[in-house]
Amino acid sequence: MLMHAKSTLGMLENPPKSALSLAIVRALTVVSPNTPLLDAIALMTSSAGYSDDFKRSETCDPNHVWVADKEHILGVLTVGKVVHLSANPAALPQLSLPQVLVPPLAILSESALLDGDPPADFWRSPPTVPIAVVDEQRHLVGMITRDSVLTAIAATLADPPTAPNSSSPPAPIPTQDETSSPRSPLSVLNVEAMFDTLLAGYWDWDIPTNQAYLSPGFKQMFGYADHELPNVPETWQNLIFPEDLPKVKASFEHHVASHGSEPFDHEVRYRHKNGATIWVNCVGEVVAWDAQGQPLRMIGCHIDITQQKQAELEMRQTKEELENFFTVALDLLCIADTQGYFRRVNRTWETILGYLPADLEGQSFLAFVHPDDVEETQAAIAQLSNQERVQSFVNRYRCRDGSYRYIEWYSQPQGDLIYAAARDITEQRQLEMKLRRREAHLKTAQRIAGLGSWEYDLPTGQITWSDEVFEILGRDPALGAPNYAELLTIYHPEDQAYHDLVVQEAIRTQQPYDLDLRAYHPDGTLVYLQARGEPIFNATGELVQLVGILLDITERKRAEAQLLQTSAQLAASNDELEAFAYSVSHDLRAPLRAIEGFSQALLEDYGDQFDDSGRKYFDRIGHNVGRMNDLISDLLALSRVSRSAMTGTSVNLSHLVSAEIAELQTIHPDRQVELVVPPQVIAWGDATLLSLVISNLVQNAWKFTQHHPTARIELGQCDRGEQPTYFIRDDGAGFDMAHADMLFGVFQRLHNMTEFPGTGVGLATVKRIIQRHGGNVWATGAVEQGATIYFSLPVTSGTGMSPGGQHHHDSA
Amino acid sequence: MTQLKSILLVEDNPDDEALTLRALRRNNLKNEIIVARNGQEALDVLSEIAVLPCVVLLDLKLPKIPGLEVLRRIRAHERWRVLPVVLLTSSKEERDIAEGYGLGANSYVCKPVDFQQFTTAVSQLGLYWAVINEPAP
Repeated sequence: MLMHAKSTLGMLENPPKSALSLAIVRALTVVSPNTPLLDAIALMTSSAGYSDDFKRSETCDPNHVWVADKEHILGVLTVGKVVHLSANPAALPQLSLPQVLVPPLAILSESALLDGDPPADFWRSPPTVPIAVVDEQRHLVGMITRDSVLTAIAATLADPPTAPNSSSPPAPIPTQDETSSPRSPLSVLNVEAMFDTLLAGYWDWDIPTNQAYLSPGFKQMFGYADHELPNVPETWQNLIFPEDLPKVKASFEHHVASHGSEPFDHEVRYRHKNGATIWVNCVGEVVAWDAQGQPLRMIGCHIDITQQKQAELEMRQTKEELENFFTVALDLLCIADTQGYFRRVNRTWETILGYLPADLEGQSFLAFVHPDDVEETQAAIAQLSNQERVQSFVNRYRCRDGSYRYIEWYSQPQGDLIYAAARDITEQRQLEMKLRRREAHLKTAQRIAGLGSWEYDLPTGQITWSDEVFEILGRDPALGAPNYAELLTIYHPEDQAYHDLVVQEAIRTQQPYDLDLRAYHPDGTLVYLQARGEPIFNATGELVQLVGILLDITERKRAEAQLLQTSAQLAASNDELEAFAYSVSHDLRAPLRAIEGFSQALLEDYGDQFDDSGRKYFDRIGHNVGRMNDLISDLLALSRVSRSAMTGTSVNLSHLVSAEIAELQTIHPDRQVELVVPPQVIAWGDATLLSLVISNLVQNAWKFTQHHPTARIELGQCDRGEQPTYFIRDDGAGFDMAHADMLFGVFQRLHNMTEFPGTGVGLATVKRIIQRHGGNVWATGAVEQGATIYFSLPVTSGTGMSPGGQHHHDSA
Repeated sequence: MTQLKSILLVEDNPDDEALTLRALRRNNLKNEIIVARNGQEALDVLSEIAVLPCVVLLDLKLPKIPGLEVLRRIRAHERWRVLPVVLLTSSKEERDIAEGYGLGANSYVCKPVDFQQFTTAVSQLGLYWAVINEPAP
């Protein structure tokens, strides 16, 4: 085009005033630069409504809104630009008019234009936008557009002005010259170059003769010089893409059929000389009709819209790509508005939440939000409405199946719209919660146990403590864990060196360690600790870490001390008891012996001086001395039961009962006693003591059945839960259950001596023995219906019995 | 006729002493009965006596030096090592019995509370050690 422009410069010496002046559109819409963009757009589209700011006439071209302040022209807002902007309508309210208007590429003074004296370089770059036309004061007076030029041409051809250098009559058909190509009437008028430039190539078709004129600009567009292509219709028909030809024909027929009211306007492809595709916008108009309404002549122009088409294509591709991206994205994508409605969602919503896009689009998204999250979601929307982005916002969305999933949002507002990408983080959330629960669990466990955990990273020397370690050592967590050197100082001065030794040894030998130590809290409280550590090796077997625990054993140490003290006290009281028993054994018997001895001596030496009654008194003394002696013996036996050492073993109670009965039967051969003893009733306990139990119980049974002609004595086992429980049952005198509690007390008797002799120590002894085994003893019975004495013996493994009294030989 | 050896009774309780003496006399034993009323006195008697007694009837519970200690010293003493010692005591405690024998007692006799039994026991003891038993040379 540059070449062409240069070559035609010379032809502009005398442009036809009237033709150009016809091309100037004088009715313009002009607004000030601070007019809102949307208002400016509204002016294009509505025929009504303009304020004082706007100059507008009803004949204004609706495709252009000029922007000018008092001094100069700022630019023009074109329909094309608005179409472009409308691709992103949300951005419109944010844009100001000066940001989007197209600066005037060409401003021509009206006088220069009409005088045919535009600046020389003006024609070099053919304006693709309207040309501003100004007056002497450089005020905007009009514009030249493509349409206005076409209109002017049509008018000129219909009523050609008198050209200063030509007297030819207006000829529908230009005269044929030697090239046999028709000449444009415009070339005759010498304005061809200007129009060619303004229109970027035009054509002129005489329909009855089917002759065509193709301007140099027309041919230049496809890479040909004027002379390379003949001015015949076949020229363009050969250059156009064959598949686009029907479009041209259809457009033409339409135009003709409507007698010109339907524009001849289409976009078709031509083949450039170099093979490239040239997209052309072809606009034309029948300018002459015959009486029958048949077209006689038609003119039109070509606009190269290849770039625009290319851009459209690219845009479409981009859009498709974005669309694909939107569709295939694994994230939840959506466009919503700040009113809270989904505009668009992608298919991922279906895979994750189960909804089809149609289920969601147009719906309020709050309706899908978990009720507990609605408030926070509304806050997020408010933030978006303030044009602030929202990141990492999490709420729960209800799935189609009614379950909820955690969704994390990244939302970007743009006007009333929200562009959001979201992700299903339910599993992550569940993991997190699980982890958090575990952590809380661990923390609680550590707190309850008074047990902290730690790590000592050997390469870095870094020590990490759990919260509980801080608690145990009374260290402010804000201080963080100490380094190793500082750690040592936390411990008791006497334990520091030992701790260090043990740890270094553990590192050297790569063995776990376990040590007790002490530490002082900052407030001076002394705590006892158990520290355990284990070496951790990396993949190559290198020792990289010690991990371990720290246990607060202060309570245990206290309890141990307490236990030691209690044991000592117990031992002391045992010693006292022993001394007491010893003393009883010696000292209570001696006076008895004296009483008995001297009363016998008295009887022996002076017996003849006592009558029968006196001698009976001596019997009574003797009887009581004997009874006293029995009491002392039984008491001593009871105290021995409490003091003797115990050894756990398996004891056959069946044998013990049988043996005891056999012995009693020997002493009392006339007694009729039925014995019920299962063969293998086995208990675990100290053999001597258990035999004492059986002997006491069997003797009791024997004794309390003595007034019955026949008796039945039974041994049995009736385990209660885990606890083996045994019983000895008789059918003798029995007892009133109201007195059951007294049964096992020392010296407690439920019968008087004349009925059943005894000291009342037997069952007390039984109770003491069973209790020393950790068992229980109780009785059931009824008067004259027998008694059953039960005793339980817990199962103890091995020989470990509770320690009995120890023998001391510290007194005699 | 060889000279009758004495019997050393170590007893702090005067009642027991009287009853024991009475029981011993029941057999018409002619042996001298020396009574020591505590452990120290017993050891003193042994140190001073020319002819060792045929038996020492030793109570366990004694003032100053307890019976078992007296026994231990007797057994540790070269001259008294084989002297017959009978522990005559109220205690039936197993550990006393065991320890008594452990220290070399020749016999362990519980004083029965019953007078008849007591008299029998003591008189038999006297008879046995004073008459029947052949003492070590």
